[in-house]
Amino acid sequence: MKKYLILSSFVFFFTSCSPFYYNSLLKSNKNISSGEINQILSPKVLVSSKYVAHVSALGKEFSGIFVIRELDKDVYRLMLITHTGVTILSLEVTPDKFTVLYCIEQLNNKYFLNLVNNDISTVLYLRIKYKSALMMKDVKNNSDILKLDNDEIQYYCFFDDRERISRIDEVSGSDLKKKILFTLENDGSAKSIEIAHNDYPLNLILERIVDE
Amino acid sequence: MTFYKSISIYFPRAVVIFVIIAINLFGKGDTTSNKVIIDPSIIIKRINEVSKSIKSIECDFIQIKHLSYLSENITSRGAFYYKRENLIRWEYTSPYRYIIVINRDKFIMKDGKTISSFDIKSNELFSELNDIILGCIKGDILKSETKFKFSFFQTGSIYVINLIPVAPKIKEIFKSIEIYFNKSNFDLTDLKMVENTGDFTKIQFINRKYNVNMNEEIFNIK
Repeated sequence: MKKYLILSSFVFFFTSCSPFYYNSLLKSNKNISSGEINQILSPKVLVSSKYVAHVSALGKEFSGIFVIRELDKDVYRLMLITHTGVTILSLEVTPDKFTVLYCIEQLNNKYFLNLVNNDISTVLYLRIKYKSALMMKDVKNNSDILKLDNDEIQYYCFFDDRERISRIDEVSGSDLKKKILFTLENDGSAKSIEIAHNDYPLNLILERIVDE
Repeated sequence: MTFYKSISIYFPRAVVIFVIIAINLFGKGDTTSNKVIIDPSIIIKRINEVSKSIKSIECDFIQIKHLSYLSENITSRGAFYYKRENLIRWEYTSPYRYIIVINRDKFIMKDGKTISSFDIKSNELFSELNDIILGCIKGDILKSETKFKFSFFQTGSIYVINLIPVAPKIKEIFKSIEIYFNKSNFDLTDLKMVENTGDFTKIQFINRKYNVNMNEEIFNIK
């Protein structure tokens, strides 16, 4: 799975990540209403479950177990623990609040925690702030892409063959800042998620653990 | 005497008698199942003797992580290898494959095909963890009076050593560490690390084989 994700990331990088890629997209004839956008961005992909987390940060590789539990509606407890069982990060996240309950000294960095907050909130709630929306077309791949514009930042949302959101690119101008890749189960929950930052050496891959 | 009057007289007495019996039964049960050992010198001596005789360990392990907010525990399984002096290999096989090797001063991890390593001393957390795990296996942990306060218990067929951290760095992570030894042969059977939140990790060592021939290559990941 990890191999596939890395390979797909490379393919994606070389085929669709160039500065020219986003400019090459054409405006689609399809119109999209705010209701439809809300529907696209509403599914819960990150559900209460256990994931193996592969983290690459500041040139260091790290792996552990990421546990997510929805305590109440939209209230999540998230924990990152080492394979040997030591808790290194414990968070409580709501749509409006991000609370660090515990964090080991080595990770207790404001910039890092802000990135985590941003990434986790994006994948938990799929809430993207935007001012305008446009359906685009990738003519070469014959696929529709939803572009959400929020002044300096644009979000490009890609879909899988079942029209479920499968990738979000965060772009500034024509520079890719961050990409999030989803591999979804039949029920729409994430089998795996990859979050890769282009302007910060942080990469996170979550692979769902299936209990035997 | 009416039925209701006799009930009102005898029922409270019956409750009191029941409570006394219950306290005796369960209270005694508790003390016998977790009896404090006032003079642990013989146990310490035996642990040191047994630890000195161990040159290698090969066993399976079951690791249970209990998180208070999860309805179920996280259970991992795998194989554990130790070779004197400082060689350890944790090979997780379920529910995912992952290898951790401690080769003297190096901490090496293999995640899929990705291998990463760092100097144990460069990471205080791993350095402490390594000292604790190695100390439990080698019996050295009992010499760490500056890091822990020890208390000894016995229950059924096992001895339990309870370690309360006094060193600030360890106190930040763990509330206590419990080491379980088999009474008959002083084998290390379980290790329980309790975090300050009450969440804990319990590692059970099973199918233990001692002093088997072990190729040092398994402690080198390439």
